[in-house]
Parts: sequence; structure tokens; C-alpha cells
Amino acid sequence: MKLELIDLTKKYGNFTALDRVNITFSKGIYGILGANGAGKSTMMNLLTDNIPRTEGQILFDDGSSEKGGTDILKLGRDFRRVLGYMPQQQGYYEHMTVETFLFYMAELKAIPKRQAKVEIEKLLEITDLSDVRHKKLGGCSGGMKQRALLAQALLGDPKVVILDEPTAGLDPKERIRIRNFISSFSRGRIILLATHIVSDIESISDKILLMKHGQVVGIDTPDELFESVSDKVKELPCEPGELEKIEEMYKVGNVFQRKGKTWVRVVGDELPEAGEYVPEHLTLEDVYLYYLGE
Amino acid sequence: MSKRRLMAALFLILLANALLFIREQVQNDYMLDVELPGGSFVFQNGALTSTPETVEPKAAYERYLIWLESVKDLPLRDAAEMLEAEKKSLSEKLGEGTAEDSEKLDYIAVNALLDRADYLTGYGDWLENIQKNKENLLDFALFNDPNSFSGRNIVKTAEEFKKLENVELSLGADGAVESFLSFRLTDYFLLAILLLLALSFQDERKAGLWNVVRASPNGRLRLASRRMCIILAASVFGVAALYGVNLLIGFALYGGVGDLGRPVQSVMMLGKLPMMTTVGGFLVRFFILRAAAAFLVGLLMWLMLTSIDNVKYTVIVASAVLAVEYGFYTFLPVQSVFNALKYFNIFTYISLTDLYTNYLNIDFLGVPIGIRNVSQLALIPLCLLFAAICIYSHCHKKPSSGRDLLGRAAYFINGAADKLLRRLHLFGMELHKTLYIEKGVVVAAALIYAALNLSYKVTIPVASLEEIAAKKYTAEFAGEITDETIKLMDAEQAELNIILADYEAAKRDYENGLIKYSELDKYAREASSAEIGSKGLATVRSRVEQLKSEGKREGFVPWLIDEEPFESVYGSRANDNQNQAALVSILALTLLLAGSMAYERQSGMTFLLRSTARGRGAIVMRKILLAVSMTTLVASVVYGMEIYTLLKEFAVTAWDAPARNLSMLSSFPFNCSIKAWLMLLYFCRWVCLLCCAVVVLLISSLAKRCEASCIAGCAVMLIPSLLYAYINIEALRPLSVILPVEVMPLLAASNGAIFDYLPWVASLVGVAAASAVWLFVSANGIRRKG
Repeated sequence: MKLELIDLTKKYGNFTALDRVNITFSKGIYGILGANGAGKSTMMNLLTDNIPRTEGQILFDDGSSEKGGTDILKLGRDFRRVLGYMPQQQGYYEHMTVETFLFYMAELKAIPKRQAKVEIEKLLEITDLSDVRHKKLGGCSGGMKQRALLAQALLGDPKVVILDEPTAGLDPKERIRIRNFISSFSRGRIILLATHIVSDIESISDKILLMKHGQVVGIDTPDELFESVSDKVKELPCEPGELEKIEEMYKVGNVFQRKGKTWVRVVGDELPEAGEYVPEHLTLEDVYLYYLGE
Repeated sequence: MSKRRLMAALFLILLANALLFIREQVQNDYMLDVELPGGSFVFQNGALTSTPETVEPKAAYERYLIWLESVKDLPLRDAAEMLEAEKKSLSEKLGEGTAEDSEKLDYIAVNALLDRADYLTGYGDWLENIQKNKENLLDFALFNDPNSFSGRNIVKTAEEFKKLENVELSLGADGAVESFLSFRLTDYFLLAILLLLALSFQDERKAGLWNVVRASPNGRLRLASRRMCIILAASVFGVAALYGVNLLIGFALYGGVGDLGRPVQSVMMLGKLPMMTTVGGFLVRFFILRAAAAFLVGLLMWLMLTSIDNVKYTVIVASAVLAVEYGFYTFLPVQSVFNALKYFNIFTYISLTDLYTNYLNIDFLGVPIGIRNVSQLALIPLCLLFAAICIYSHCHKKPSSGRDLLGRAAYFINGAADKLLRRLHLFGMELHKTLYIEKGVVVAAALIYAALNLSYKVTIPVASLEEIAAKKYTAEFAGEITDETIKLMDAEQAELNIILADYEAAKRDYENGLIKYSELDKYAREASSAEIGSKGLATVRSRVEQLKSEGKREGFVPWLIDEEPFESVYGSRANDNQNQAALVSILALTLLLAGSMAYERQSGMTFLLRSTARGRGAIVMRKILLAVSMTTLVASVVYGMEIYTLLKEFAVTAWDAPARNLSMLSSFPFNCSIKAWLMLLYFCRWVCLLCCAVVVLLISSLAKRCEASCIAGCAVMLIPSLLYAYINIEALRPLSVILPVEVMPLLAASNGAIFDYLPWVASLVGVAAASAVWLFVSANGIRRKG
């Protein structure tokens, strides 16, 4: 099973939001990283056919035929049957209860009633919504709504799951729980996960996609990405008046206190001579700063 | 609730109050009985029915004021005698049928004035009777127990009314005061203003800012005091703007301010008020007490809403409490063991007028307690008490203190509802969204109420005796026109001819002195009836001949039909009824469906829906099915009532007669029975309503919010029709969707020729089809490149 983006382009007038993107997604979790306006949501909206594309193709191959992939526009309803989508902005019917909302979404996904009942019970349990299943969505907290939206995305055993900021608004315990579930759920599926919470991507992604100005600037496994920046990160002590000067010269990550001194973490191809490399303690934030930082 | 919405709601309430007050006065014929004795006749179901003759109420009231001016300075008894004499003379003229229009107006005016004069002259006797009752009680204590509640009540009543013994009542223009006191809707408008205000105080709770407000230095006592002042100001303003405007309109409609220095009992409605004051004094007192009562009601609303822990349920709980209080106030008997619930009730202060128009002592442990006195005396202490409680509650109630029992109950109810909802399929869920979530059920209830109150038929008056005779014969010979019909008509004509011939013979006999004048007169009267009958029969015969020749030419079987039922319900005279029915149907459909597509956008669900297997074409198909269902519902309610009226009011038997026998359908292009024509008519109406419904769906799909969709839907679907139908703006005729929905005005105007009608239906169906295509195209995203 694969999802192939060929020369995928989206323009809004003269502004190019997505510029000739070519990627092939196969089974696994893809973390998508990028600053605001990098084109993450545009790509997701194109994948869900919620906005018209300017150029290019999105081919989906479920592995059942030898012909290869078919454009999702041609597949239409057949593609949407295997799609699970959680949008970035919370959209919900505030007068529906959590349970009714899930049953309604199951109807929209053409899931038979009996199957829907079993799946909803399971998803309510996983997303920790069982105790509030009869509460109206309008009266739920932001975290509960987020979990209800995630639950609907996972309804119907989707083969392609697109999750835009799935853990936003959740507390750390809930985030870990959901993250672990996504990880266990990913087997045999393509999961695209866009988030600003880099630790979520770091821990569960098979591959990370880095986007900048509508283009894909890198795609690799987390280990390979860490490897690629292993000699690009240094930590150095800094005197109180020097921080601004360092910030002007280098991409600065964390600023922290150690042994009574202020330290800064800088990322880049050209690094100051002072300081020490930290190859054992690299984070995805370093990768983000190196590839996507301005 | 935003400030803008609150202000808009207040403005609408004030406007509605003023307009409805004026409407009520016009509908109540300026509080006059405008029916003249006797009346005219209409022919219905083969029989003559009497309908009272009425006069123009406004003109009659103007005469009333003139008569009032001429008698008001006379002693009451003289005025009453003079009016009685005038009434007698006018009655005679009316009886003889010689009364002119102005005299008819005078009759109504004099009659109304005489009622008032009788009341005023009899007031002293009424007071005397109260005192006599007391004396009888004390004189015959063996039979009546003066220590029972009943006995004490008689004594108390007598004591209270004793002070009115020397009161001198006089005639005056009391219309303004009486209309102002009778218009009870204003009480509920005032309640609505106070409720809206109290709801607006819950805004910070709804926005989750209650903690922040309470934590700020001015968020407790100072804020509570300010809010109390706002309620006070709103009470004073509300009373002035609602009741003040009513009184001013009353003065304008009922002949000015008049003499406000007369004793208050001079006003008929206030005759049971045992208080020595003038009309002016009463009005000042009423306004002050009304404002104080409004302040108390406002405080109670505020307290009630604040005390509900879960802000989501404030409206429901407030409505429930008011409903229970209203139930006690309205349905508990006057003297019952539960009368404390009836009179120590929020509605005592809402319906304040009752305290002044009724005299009532209630039984409190055998002691009669005057409701008016107690309510008045308690008003200020209650205001102070509840003001203190409100401030205390505002300052001390903690945002997260309550146990939220309502929330638990709602969760339980939601659980039961979920069990039902989970069984619904996509269409069922769309229906649930429309009827429950988008409050369509309220629109449906309002539709049923409106449909029950619509008028579906008009009375067709009969202009002459010949016409009455023609209708009688039409009813007698109704049915398929055969040789037998002609024979029956000939036989009837022969009988009439005999009567006419007898009269001619009687005339000759009288001239020859063979019979007396009284006998001749008998023959003359019979001959006169026969002559009228003969003319009526000739009319029917001519219609029969016309139908026979048309039937022969057009190939339909001629029937003689009583056309009145169809003319009354579908004819040109019933155009106003048809307009109203169509407008109500379109309005209901617009309100039911305007939220259908817009709600998805408002909820931010569009992208999510589009990503699902059935979230595009399938859901649009369900929305169109929903439009079909709602159209059927609306058409069934409104036009079902129309059919019911036709069946109930008229004994129609000619269902199988060819429709072209009806004059209004003489040019109908093909032969079908009246039954089939009616089915076609209602089918066309249903199709046109369905087209309107689909256009509303299109408007809804373009709107981002339900309210905007409702406004846009009404603007497109109703405003051109309203302006065309009621203000005659001809330029808007092509946009008036009521015309194709009504069908009959277009059809009847051309005697059933459908060429005037077809372009309308074709246009509407075309627009609806284009709208449906657009809905599918935009849902499926066919515009995108691929």
C-alpha cells in the first residue's frame, strides 16, 4: 500500500503554498514538521480533497491490483472509505453528545451499525471518553473534544490516517496515552501526523518529513536526521551581555542554567570554536532548527 | 448575549408591543359592539344563513365621542333617559330598514354610551347592596355565621366600599385607560425584557470568566450594586416605554386625555376598586407600583438564574419555574387551600392589573385578606429583601460550588436519547439535526398554530333575491345535466307560472269585486315570490344551456354544480387567504431549512464531512430528502387545513363532475374530474414549495451562520412576495414565489388556462434544479482540477 504525491502543487493566486512536492508514503507513521505557513495543512487538505489542487497527482495504491496507483480524485468515495481525518481546527456539533457524534460519523463513513457499536465502545475506552459519552460536545473541555475528534478519525479501520495536531490541548498523561495508541494502531497503515509538539513525532514516527516554504526539504528516519545534525550542535557558556550577539550570529536553541552559568545551545553549519558538541544528546528541536530555522 | 443583540431584542419588543396594541384596538372594534340588530343573509349549503350587519368601528367611535360630548355635562339620569329615547328611535328606523348610514353609526355609539350610563347610574345601588348584605348578615346572625370566613368577608367588603358612598361618578372618554388596562400582552413583554436583562448578567459565566470577574476588586459588591441599579433603571424605562406608549396610543385613538380628575370608579373596569382617587391619581399610582413590581420581578429573575449552578440550563429552568408559577396563578381556583400559591406568586406582580380590576379577599385561616392591599404593602419590603439577597448571592456564590444536579439529570436524559439516536441512519440524523438541534420543532409548532388560525374561506354574500333563488335552484338541480334536469326545471317553471296566472285571475276577481283586498294581497305576495323564483330559474336555465353547449364543444359531460364551496376557498375572492397560506408555508419552510447547510459551516464540520465516504453527494441527497419531508409536512399542515375547511364547511358532492363545469376553470386545457383537479392543484403547490425548499438549501449552503441563512432566506423568498402582494409593487411580481405556490390566482384569472401559470412553474423548477445541481457540484468538488 502506498500513497504517492507527484509534482503536487497548490497556488493561491501568485502565492505558491505547495511547490511540486514529490513523496511516496508507504506503511508507517510520518511525522510532518514545519513552521506555520510551510504547507503542512495545505498538503493535508489536498490529500483529503478539501481544496482543489493546481497541478500534480495523488495516487493511492492499496496493493490489491497490479496496475499501480489511481488518483484519489478518480477513486473518490473508495478512497474516502479508507481515510481517517482529524482536522487541525476543532469542528464539532456542540449540541451532539460524544456518543451521538461518533455514531453520526460512523454513518457518514458507511460503517455498519453493529461494527460501529463495537468500534465506538473501544475508541471511547482508548480515548478515555467512556465516562463522558453522554455529555454534549459543547460542554466538553478542549481535551475531550480533541479526543472525540481523534476517535472519529480512527473509526472504520482506516488505511490512511491524516492527523493534524492530534495531541494539541491534551495534558501530558493523555498525550502519552494517545501517542502510544497511534503507535500501536499504525501497523499496516499510512499515518500522517502533523504537530508542533516535536516530542510526539520524535517518539513514534518512522519517518519525519520536513517542510519549508511549500517544499519538502528533508525526509528521513529520526535516527538518520539526528545523525545528519550530530556535528551541527554545540553548547557553550555565555556571559550575561553576550546572548544578543550570539543570537545575531547563530541559530540559538535552548538557553539554560548549568553550574551557576548561563549556557546556550547553537545549531548550524558554522559554529563558534568555543563550546562542546553534544552528539549524545540531540533532540528533534535541533533538527528542526537546523533544517527549518530562519 | 451581545449588547447589540440585547438592544435589537429590546427594540423589537417595544415595536411589537406598540404594533400589537394598535392591532388589538382595531380587532376589538375600538371596544364597541358594532353589530346592528337584524342583519343580512348568505346562501350556504342550500340554505339561507343570517349574518349580522356591522358598521365601520372607527367612524362609530367618532360618533360615540360626539354623543359623549353632548351628554357628559348632563346629570347622569337625564343623560341615560336621553340616550334611551334616542336608542329607541334609532332602533325603530333600523327595524323599518329606513336608517341611513350615519344613523347606524349613531345607534352603535348611543348603545355603547347607554351601557356606560347604566353602569354609572346603577353604581350607587350596587354600593347599597354591599351594605345591605352586611346588615342582613348581622340582623340574621342565626342563619349566617359572622365569624366564618364568608361572614367576615362580607363585613370587610362593606367596610372597604363604605368610603365610596358619596362618590360622584361621571361620563368620560375612558377608552384609553380601559384599553391600556386590558392589553395583558404588555405584562409579558415587560417580563421578557427583565428576563433578557437577567440572562445578559450570565454572560461572564457562559464565557468562563466568572472566576476572573469575582477575583477583580469591583467584581462583587460594586458589580452587584451596579446590576441592581440597571434592573431598577430597566424597570422604570420598560414600564415607561411599554405602558406609557400604550397609554399615549390609547389617548390618540380614544379621543384624548379627557377628564383625569373624575373618580376612578367612573371607569367601568375599575368599578371594584375601593379607593378614593381620581383617574389621574390612579394612573400615577399604577405606574409607580408597576415599576416597583417590575423591579421585584427583575430581581427574582436575576436571583433565580444566578442560583442555577450550570449556566447552560438557566433558560430551561427559568422557563420551567415561570410555567409552574403561571400554572398555579391561572388554574388554581380563587378560593382554595392552595391559594397562597396562586396569589403569593410572581404572576401577581406580573399581571398587576388584576389587583385593580378585581376585588378579592382570600381565606387565610378564616380571616379575609385583601390581595391588593397585601401585595401593595409587601412590594417595597420584598424589593429590599430580594435586593439584599441578590447582592449577597452575587458576592458569595462560588463559581464551582454547586453539585450540578441539573448537569447529572441532563447526562441521564442524554444517555436515553443517545440510545435512540444511535439507531438512526443518515437521514434520521439529518432530521434530528433539523428538528432538535436547529430548533425546527419550534417552527413546526408555530406552523401548526398559524395554520389553525389562518382563514381558508370567504363568505360570498348574495346581492339580490333573484340570486338567492338561483342558488336555491342550483342546489336543487345539482348533478349531471340530463333531459330529466330539463324536465324538472320545466315542471318547476310550470308551477311558478300557475302561481303567476292565479294572481292575474285574482286581480280580475278583485276588480270584479269577487274577492277582498286581503285575499288579493295573499296572491300578490305569492306571485312576487314566484316572479323572483322565475328569474332565478331563468338564470339557472341559462347556465345549464351554457354548460351543455360548452360540454358539447369541449367534450365534457355538463354538470350543474353549486360553485360556492370552490369560489369560497379557491376563487378570486379568497386571494388574501391564499396569499397568507402561501406566505406561512414558505416562511415555515425557510425557517426549517435555512440552517440545514449553514449549520455544518457554523460548526466547522465542512472539511471533516467532505473527508468521509458519505459526506458529499450522499449527505446532499439526504438534505434534499429532508427538504422533501419538510415540504410535505408544511403542505400537509397548511393545505390539509384548507381541505379540512372545504370538507367541513361545505357539503360538496360533485367530486366526480368534470372540473370545466366550474366557471373559474372553464378554460382548463384538459378534461378531468374536480377530484383530479384538486389533486393536481395540491401536487403543483407541493412541487412549487419543494422548489422553494431547494432554493433555501442553496442559500443555506452559501451562508456561514444559521442566523445569516435565515435572514437571507427570508429576504429572497418572502420580501418580494410581501411587497408585491401587500404593497402592490408590480416590479417585484416576477420574484414573488407565492404566485406559483398559490396556483389559483394565476389559474382563476384566466379561467383555468394554464398558459399564464406554466412559465412560472417552469422558472421555479428550473431555478430549483439549478440549485440542486450546484449543491451536488460544490459538494463533490467537481470544480477542482484533477
